[in-house]
Amino acid sequence: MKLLAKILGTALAVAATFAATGAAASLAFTSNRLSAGNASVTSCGVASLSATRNVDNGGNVTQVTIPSVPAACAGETLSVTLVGAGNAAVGSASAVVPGGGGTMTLSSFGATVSAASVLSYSYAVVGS
Amino acid sequence: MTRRLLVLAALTLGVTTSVAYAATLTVSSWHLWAGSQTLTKATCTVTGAQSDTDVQQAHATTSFGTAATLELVPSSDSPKEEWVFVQFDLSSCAIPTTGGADSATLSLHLSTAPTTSFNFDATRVTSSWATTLTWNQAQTLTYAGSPTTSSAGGTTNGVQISFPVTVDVDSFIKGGSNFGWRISDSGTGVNAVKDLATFASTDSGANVPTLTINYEY
Repeated sequence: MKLLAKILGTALAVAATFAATGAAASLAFTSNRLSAGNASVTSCGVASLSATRNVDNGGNVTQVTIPSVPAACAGETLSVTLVGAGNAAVGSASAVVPGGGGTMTLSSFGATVSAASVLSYSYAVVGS
Repeated sequence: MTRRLLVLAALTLGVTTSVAYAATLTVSSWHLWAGSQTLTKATCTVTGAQSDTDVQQAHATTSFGTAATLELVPSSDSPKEEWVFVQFDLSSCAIPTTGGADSATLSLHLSTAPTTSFNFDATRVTSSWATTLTWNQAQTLTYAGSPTTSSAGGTTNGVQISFPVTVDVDSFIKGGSNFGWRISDSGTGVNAVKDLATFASTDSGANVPTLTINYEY
């Protein structure tokens, strides 16, 4: 029985060590690798994006058009957030970059968004 | 008992090891780019139309382009129907073609209201016209399939009638053809004496048509 207690104790100690290692790995992802510009997180070739949008006669945004998305981003996800006062998101949409990249048109922003309330666009292109 | 404890120990080790392994896998080989674009907001009011006129069914070959008034008579008064045409030059606003209208309002001064209210339809004109336009020529122009907006005229003299035309002006800014609007009735007018709406034209020199644009670029 004493032997069994030793084995169990050893197992728990090893488990605690791995758990600590796991927690450290999670911390590295959120704090170190991204903010430090780790080489494993790179752009697919986007230097900048600039959008235009269409409205209906009530002045609500109907679609956002983003030209010149690099072909290298094909298959990745382009997200656009419509940002209003106080840097608050007033709408967002995303779509997969088509083969060849090019011009993308996004619509359905999750809510009716007045063009007058949109002060900036935020973009993100994410993929693997 | 001993066997159960051994199995528990083995499971504990296995699960913990898996969690630690997965946490290190998700980090590598991702693409990420983030950016932003700040918009500039501004307002421009165009005072006075580049071109405005009315056309009269009863005088089908006559031009009224220099008159001080713009007359509108509903279709129910046929063959005395009258339409108003108005077009604005946006070049003074110098809005980049990459910009867009947040809102745009065409405003006409209703000098003389009809005795019975009817609705005024603003329909985008899609072919070229000039202030020498006549009723017969207006029949050959092309128009958008449906009115951009419809505003109730009322029966009060000396008020401003506003037409939201955001979608059309947004198109103008982006390089779409700008031939202005036709103002006509929406078939709600009645065939009555003095069923006539009169607006101030640019040639009147006062209370002239305006187009106010809130835009971004």
